[in-house]
Amino acid sequence: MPTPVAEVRSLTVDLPAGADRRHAVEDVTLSVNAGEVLCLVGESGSGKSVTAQAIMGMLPPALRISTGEILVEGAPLPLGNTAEMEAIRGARIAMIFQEPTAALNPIQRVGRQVEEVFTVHRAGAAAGRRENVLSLFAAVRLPDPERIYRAYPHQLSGGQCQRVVIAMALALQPRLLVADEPTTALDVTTQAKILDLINELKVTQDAGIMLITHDFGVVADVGDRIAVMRHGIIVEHGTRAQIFSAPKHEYTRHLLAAVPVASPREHRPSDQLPTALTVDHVSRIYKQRQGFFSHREVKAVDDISLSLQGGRTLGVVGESGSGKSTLARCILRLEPVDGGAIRFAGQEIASATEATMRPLRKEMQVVLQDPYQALNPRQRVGSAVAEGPLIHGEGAAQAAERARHMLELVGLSPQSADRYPHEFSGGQRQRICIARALALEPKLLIADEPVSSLDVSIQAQILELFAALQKKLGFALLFITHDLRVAASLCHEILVMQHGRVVEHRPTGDLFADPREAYTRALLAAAPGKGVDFSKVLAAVTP
Amino acid sequence: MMTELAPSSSRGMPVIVQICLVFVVLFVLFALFGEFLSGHEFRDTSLLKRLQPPLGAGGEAEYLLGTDQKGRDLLARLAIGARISLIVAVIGTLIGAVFGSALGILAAARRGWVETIIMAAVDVQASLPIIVIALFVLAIFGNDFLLFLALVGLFGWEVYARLMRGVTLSAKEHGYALAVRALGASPVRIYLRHILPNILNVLIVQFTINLPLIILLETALSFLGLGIQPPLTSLGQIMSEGRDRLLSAWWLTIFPGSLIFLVALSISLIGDWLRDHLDPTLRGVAER
Repeated sequence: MPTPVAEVRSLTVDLPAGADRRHAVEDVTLSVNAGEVLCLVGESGSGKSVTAQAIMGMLPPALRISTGEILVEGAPLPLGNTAEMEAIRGARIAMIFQEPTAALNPIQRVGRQVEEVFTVHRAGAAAGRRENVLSLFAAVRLPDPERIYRAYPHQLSGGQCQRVVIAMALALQPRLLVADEPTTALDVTTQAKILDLINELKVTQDAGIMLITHDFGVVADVGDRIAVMRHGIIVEHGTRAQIFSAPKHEYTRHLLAAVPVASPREHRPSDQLPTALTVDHVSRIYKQRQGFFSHREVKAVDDISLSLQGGRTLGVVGESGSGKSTLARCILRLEPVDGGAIRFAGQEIASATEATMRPLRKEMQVVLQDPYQALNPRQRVGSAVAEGPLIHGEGAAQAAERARHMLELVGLSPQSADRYPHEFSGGQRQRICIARALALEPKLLIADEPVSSLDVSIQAQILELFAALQKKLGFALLFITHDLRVAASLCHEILVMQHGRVVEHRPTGDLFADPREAYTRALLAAAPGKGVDFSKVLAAVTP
Repeated sequence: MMTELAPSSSRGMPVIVQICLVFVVLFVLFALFGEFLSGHEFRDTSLLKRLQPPLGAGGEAEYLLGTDQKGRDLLARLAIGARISLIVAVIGTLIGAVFGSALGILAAARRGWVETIIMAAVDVQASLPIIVIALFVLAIFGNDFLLFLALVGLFGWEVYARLMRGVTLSAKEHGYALAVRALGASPVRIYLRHILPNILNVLIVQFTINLPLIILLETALSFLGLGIQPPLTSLGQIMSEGRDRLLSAWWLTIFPGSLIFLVALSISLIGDWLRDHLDPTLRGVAER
């Protein structure tokens, strides 16, 4: 029996009066052993982050631990004592955050920031600190540690920043490492590399790692033991083998079933609907000023061509900075086009003015990534959905009636119309955005990363909604995502983009069966959860 | 996630802000109806009753706050002075707010050369002290109530323009503005129905910050003899008349001075509170 480096014993954290439940976490008991990764899995609001914050002694002031204790190497943490906790935090327990760029000070060189950990804890001689930092950078596999040491956060990629944050957490060889969604903000290929690093560190550092995630794909890649949380309670707790081969709790099965399986959408010959959109050698060039007279040209979208029929779905897949969102904005003409032609609804729109575009917008609609930003916080939901028809000349009563109907169509009650966006969850807001877009009965719907800010289990529901609505309404769908697994389940064809160019554009089945380009293969290989055959898990869990 | 767990904000208004609010309401009531408290007309002179001290300092009940060097009732004069100062402050602030905000939003909406010209004007205005402009204009064109209002209105427009340009630029990039534009909405609809309601709180806060500054500006100009001219009066003008008798007839400066000080302070404190209260990024900080 290995000795646990950290234990949480019947931890209960109270929520303030008036919240939707009494406890943020209730009677949570967990232990993390040296050299192992414990995955804490759950959706937003399940209490997994609160558990991590309680361990770190960093609970928001409104929350309070009512019962329970937390032990690190057998000794209870002095949770009430701020000064003692500060000495322990960073030294014996350390944290890795979700957003690496936000966790670093933008105006300080990253080397100095890591050095600060030694300074704050008065560890080691001042003279050797620089060397310590450089060897930490090497340990987290940062290339050219000397150069990284002198760099500012904005000069590093997201993955490199996360490695710096990990180096900072490892500086004083903590016994417990708490990682709260450490890869959620990263690209797929970067995520895969960081997960590899975590697997490597648990051995080399002999520390216990507690990794918080909502994605069972990530769990499959790194989890040795798994605890599933829901509504503040641990509903199931077991080894990797137990959870993946014989999940006991209903909710665990629900989460497992929600993991997108990279199995291509069935390729049925559809009735030949007319072509909705043709994009012909379109480019978009950004000019970056360099010095006084010169500027550098960045081709965000470089010579892209595609066409899309009614009732069909084309997935545009690429990592951040690949130009996929810029392409979407060019097609929507929310952005000027610098070259090429776009034909939509029988018109050439690449050079259309804003005024000529306005009536056409009825036919092409968009669903944006962040449902928390996409709705006017001061506008009732019904009015938001009715706004499109109103703009395009429908009567007020008729538009309101249509809004209620659309809300029902996307799975919300018609009474939702009278409520404000903040009363809805992320998934529900995305449904509202879809209702708003489809209220105009567009021929083309462009969805720009519509599920990437949602929990995996909610993602699955929204993807099903897209497929069902498309079947019913017959619009063409241009679906932009960074996740090949998501694209596979929804799209008839996939276009892989990198650096503004098309890497590969083929039917989904062919692309998955035989990826031709190295980059496509890398993307496929990086999808989390490759260690577990989710289709088998799925077969086992569906009764 | 934490936002969902955070308690619904149920913080009341601090006592000091409540006091300020009550004071401002009383001030407004005084400005509107204060002359009825006194039995005198603010312009009526009574040379026999010159420089009467207030009640409690050797004065009589007929002149509660005493009289000035021409025997006019100070209470009646303060009420009218407060009214004029308030009108000048509110209208002056409104002119600046509407004019400045419109230019700021226009700059953010149109970008390009429109923005360049507007922001250049903002920089020019910001580098010229308003008091110098006022001295210059009033010296050349002479004094006139409307001209004075316009000048006071000019004060602070550049702050609104800069502020509104900034918040509009950021609101414009918000998902909802983009989504509404994609629905086919006209710019007028996007800015009036969607962006403006979302940046209005910033405007309200700036309004409350600017208002006491305008009161002080009006007072300062009137004190220098450039503002409100007799027979009309304002708080600053009453003070300037009492300037020569600071020691012998202290009430002529102390009463209007305290009134200006307290009302400016009250509105400032309310403005500070509003700014913290309406700024979601500051929410929770004040609770700790």
